[in-house]
Amino acid sequence: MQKIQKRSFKYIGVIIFIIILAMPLPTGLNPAGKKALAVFALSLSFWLSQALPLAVTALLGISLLPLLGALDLNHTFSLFGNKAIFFILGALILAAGLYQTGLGSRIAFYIIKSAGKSPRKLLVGILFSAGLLSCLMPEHAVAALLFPVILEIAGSLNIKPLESNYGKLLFLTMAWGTVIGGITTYLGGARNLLAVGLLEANYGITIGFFEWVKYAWPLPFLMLGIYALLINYYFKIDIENIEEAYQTLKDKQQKAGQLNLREKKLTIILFAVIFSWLFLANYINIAVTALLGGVIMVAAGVIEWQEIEEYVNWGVIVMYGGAIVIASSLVETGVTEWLAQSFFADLKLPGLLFVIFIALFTSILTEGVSNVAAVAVILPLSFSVAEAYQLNPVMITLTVALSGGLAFLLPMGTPPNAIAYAAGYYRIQDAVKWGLFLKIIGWFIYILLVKFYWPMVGLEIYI
Amino acid sequence: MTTYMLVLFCFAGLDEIKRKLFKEMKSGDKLFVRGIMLEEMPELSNLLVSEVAVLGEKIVNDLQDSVIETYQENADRFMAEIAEEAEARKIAIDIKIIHADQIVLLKKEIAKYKPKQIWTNYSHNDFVSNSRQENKMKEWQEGLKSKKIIYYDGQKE
Repeated sequence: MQKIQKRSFKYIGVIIFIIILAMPLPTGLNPAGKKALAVFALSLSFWLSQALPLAVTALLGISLLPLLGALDLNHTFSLFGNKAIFFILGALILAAGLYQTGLGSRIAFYIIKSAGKSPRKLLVGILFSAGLLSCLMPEHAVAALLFPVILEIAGSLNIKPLESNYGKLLFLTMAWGTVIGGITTYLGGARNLLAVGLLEANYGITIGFFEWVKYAWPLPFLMLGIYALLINYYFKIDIENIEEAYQTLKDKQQKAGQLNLREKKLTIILFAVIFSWLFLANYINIAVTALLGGVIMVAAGVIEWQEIEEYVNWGVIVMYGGAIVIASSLVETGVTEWLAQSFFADLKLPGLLFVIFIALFTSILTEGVSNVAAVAVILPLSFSVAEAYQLNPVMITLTVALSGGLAFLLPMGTPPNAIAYAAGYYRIQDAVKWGLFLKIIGWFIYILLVKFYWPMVGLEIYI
Repeated sequence: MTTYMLVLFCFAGLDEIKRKLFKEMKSGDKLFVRGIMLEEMPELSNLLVSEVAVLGEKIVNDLQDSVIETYQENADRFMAEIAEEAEARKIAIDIKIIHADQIVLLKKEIAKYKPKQIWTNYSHNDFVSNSRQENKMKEWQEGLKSKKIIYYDGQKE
């Protein structure tokens, strides 16, 4: 977004903040709620416009809530210490291990190379390696890990930027594979955890690791399948031979050699952590498992703390914690209930229609702003709708998180898109043309999930 | 002998530009090719470090280095390609890479060689475009008598 637009959004946010604080108390809303609403409006405008870095906006929200007297000081800060935040912390440390030890790249080479030697098979290999790795580590990290490999493939095939359809597909497939795979588990995108953190802070209920996979898997599974079909039967491939690229991958794999001790230790730790998340979550909280996994990784010499520090953008933790604090303040001061009664209760629309509308709105918003910001902004408001229509908050949480993750069109929607676009091998209109198709497919699959699959596995629309 | 200049702020989508440029030129003409190098990617770094991604600074720097390396490889490949084709067509060619912070040299060269036509390839891709340098070039070009042919990412404006 241009600097002037950013500045205007910043001022609009400040003006709305002042208007809400200055206006007379609306019927049904208490003074603390009015202040919390003003802070939310200010944070919302800053997050959407990115007038300030996302983490700084979160800090602003955390500071304003006790300053204005919306929440007690100690309570505000204690809300930051949410389980979701510590899970994200542990998951990022584990992902750092996959990235820095080279185990992630090794898995990627193996999958891509196993796919076969034809140009279409190479694309399918990239799609599935991106999709599968994004079930284990954040999609941003997978894109960063695969990106140099894709650049080398493009170079070895002598593909010129913007001249080749195959070149465009190489980069788009990498980005979209990570985006689709990233919604499968908690680990693919920390926004998934942010959504669960908001659910837990607002309703005291959670979605377990296994439960998330149970509800989410058909969406990425079908989308990856449809995309693979498009690669095999529809996309125009303007290259005949990928022998050079295959050789490059083979050389890289040979250069990596046998699995080293660090990678072996990491493999054991990862298996143990995932086992605990899937089968022992009732005994050991998944956040505790993630943190212990990270600690053991460092203690076992898999990775140095300095390597973890280089890998993680710690501002993300601040942003997620701040989002949880600000959203919780809306519930605790009665703002969500007030919004539900004042704006949504009298609309008399079918609940399902509202849910589909939320999915559509989130999926549009996530293209223009970071998907984390989209979730942080839409989910608290969606909880108001849930209250008015007695919709299941777990279903609302999944709706916003899954729709918020599927950004295909623009570079600013999600880092994998930005990383792929930065290579300069495709134009935005290429991403829009094919991404829109994937978006519509994803949206239809989502409606099928809500209508048929979720009730079948015990997740009802209404409570 | 007619003098032409090709200024490249972007090394993408060049096949069509090359084809049309050579169609315009004839044996004995002179072509100056100036490639402006990408040395950093502030837009990508800002987006990834301060805004949305979980990636730390080292990873972002590694990503940036990969893009810049590829950009330079593409530049070298194109320069070699155009030199070969010019030689085959008996067109005198003078190729130079200019670092972004020395773009003022380009202005001096335009003034010195007074090309009849200046072909420029800019980019709409915020991550790989040198927008500050591109804007300088656009300002200089306004006052020039040379015919200006403008492309963005290989597509004529």
